[in-house]
Amino acid sequence: MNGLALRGPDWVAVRVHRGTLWTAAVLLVLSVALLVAVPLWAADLAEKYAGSSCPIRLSNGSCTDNTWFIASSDWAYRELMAKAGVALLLLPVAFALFVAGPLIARELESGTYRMSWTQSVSPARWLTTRTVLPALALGAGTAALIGMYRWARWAGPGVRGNWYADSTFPATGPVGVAYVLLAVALAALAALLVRRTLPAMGIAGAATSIVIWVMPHLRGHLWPTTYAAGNSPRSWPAGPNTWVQEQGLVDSSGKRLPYDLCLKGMTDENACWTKNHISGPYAVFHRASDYWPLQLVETGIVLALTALAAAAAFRLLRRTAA
Amino acid sequence: MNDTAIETVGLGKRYSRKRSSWALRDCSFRLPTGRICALVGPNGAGKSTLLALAAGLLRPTEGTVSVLGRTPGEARELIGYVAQDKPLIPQLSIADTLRMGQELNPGRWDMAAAERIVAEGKLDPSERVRSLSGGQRTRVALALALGKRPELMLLDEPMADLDPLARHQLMGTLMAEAAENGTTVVMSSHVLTELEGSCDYLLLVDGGRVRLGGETEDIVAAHTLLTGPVADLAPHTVIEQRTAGRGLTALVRRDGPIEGPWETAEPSLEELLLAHLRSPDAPDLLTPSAEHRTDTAVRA
Repeated sequence: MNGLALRGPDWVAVRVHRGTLWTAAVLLVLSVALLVAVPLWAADLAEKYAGSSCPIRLSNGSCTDNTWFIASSDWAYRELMAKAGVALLLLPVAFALFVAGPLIARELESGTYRMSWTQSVSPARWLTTRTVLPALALGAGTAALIGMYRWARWAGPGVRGNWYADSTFPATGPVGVAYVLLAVALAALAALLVRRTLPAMGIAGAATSIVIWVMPHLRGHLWPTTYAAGNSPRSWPAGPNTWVQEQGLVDSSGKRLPYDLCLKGMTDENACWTKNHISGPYAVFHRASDYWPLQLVETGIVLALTALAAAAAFRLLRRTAA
Repeated sequence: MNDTAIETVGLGKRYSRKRSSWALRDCSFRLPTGRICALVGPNGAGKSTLLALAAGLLRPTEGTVSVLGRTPGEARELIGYVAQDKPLIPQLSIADTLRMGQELNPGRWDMAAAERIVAEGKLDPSERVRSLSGGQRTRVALALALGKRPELMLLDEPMADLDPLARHQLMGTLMAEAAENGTTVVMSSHVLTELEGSCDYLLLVDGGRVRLGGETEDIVAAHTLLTGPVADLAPHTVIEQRTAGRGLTALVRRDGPIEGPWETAEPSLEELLLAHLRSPDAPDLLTPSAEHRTDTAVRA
């Protein structure tokens, strides 16, 4: 963090932004500490509770304090996992703002780039310092947080949040790191395009947000789904811990019908089923085992976008300066 | 050895494709090494654009520019450049700024020289750049540029906004360093005569092109100020003339000796430059050393 091991333009960038780096390091340590302490605390109390044979929500004597502590620790753990998931989802946007504004566009806007580019290092090297270095640092920090988040899900009292939830999926796998890299590349491109601090931050933040908002809508289509149909009206074909993409009723000819076909208008459900020759419910879904293929395909797509944005940024720089 | 510091051929720069406003157009000249060159011209003439092109901060729209026989990008480590607003990183201390010079110029940086320039200004190295006065800031910017031991110094309006004392001190520092290392220096100024005492070479940029280029002495010596009766001035080139009754005052570029009923005098540099600026149609003059030699300089 004090830049002793860094040389050349890397030393300069770290020296100039060391305040921000220290702040980020402190926040990282605090986040890791929370992700370690809260799940351990909650799991520990839950274990003690299980051995105490105390019924919950009953304030009869000695069990009262115990119950309250368990409830609050469980609540704290749920809250932490939910908020940390959202924070990890939004982290790339914050990184995009930093790289686009203070790191690149501010130097272009204030004119200090004319000092930087007329030393013995090329503008391309200057931009490499401002993209590769943050990509490595922020990517490593995010990877550490994602690792901690996965551990906290495992170590806490019971798994929280579905594996496919919008704020859980990117917080538990490599795709979360890929979004950070994309944010850095989009930030560099935005900064070189507009060369002004606030507009660059706005554009980079918006572009990153759009990708983070759009990708969950495409996510379900990134890997083949499984189809299963139940053979009795009340069976559930998808099984537990699956991510259902589509569900409904299927008739004897295999035709898919809406799931609420026989719920409308309070008709006699059994008569409705018979009338429509319904053989049972069906579901199209991802199994939990699709988690890694989905992670890897989305990571690949995001990294490809990253490469495109980075190439465009360097190309733009080459057209600007000799 | 390369004896050309800067050479441009048909150099042009346009900032916006929509507007047909050329900051620099069809600009061809050569600057030999070892000179202290004044780049003069009115505001908006294209001086800063020319310096930024030579420093590799901009790419030409057309034509070529070569620096010390290479492209500006290849010559980066041989060039010292100080922009008009003396850009430095405000939150760094002077000592950190010099350390930055060392980090960004590996193998070239002369810390002792840079520290000496700072010390001559009685500056405290632990002071932050943000809190420096204009003159102190210029001194640190010069120390950063000179510390890399450049073969070519490009200074954009280096002495603007400085009081006469600071100007005198810094010019002294710059000239001493340049003389010691044989550095070629190009300094721009919109104050035409500000650099007269220091510079032995002249480039007059006006309307986006180089109108006069060459050794200051030779350029001045090529012109004569005439006063006397109105008469045909041929074969000399008239740069500017004024008639009052039957009397005539004219600045001419001589073609052979002056023969006629006139009193002649050598014009001052200021008279010469002003006459050219007032007469945009006067033909350009480049002395032989300022003529570009190659038809296509190194591709930028």
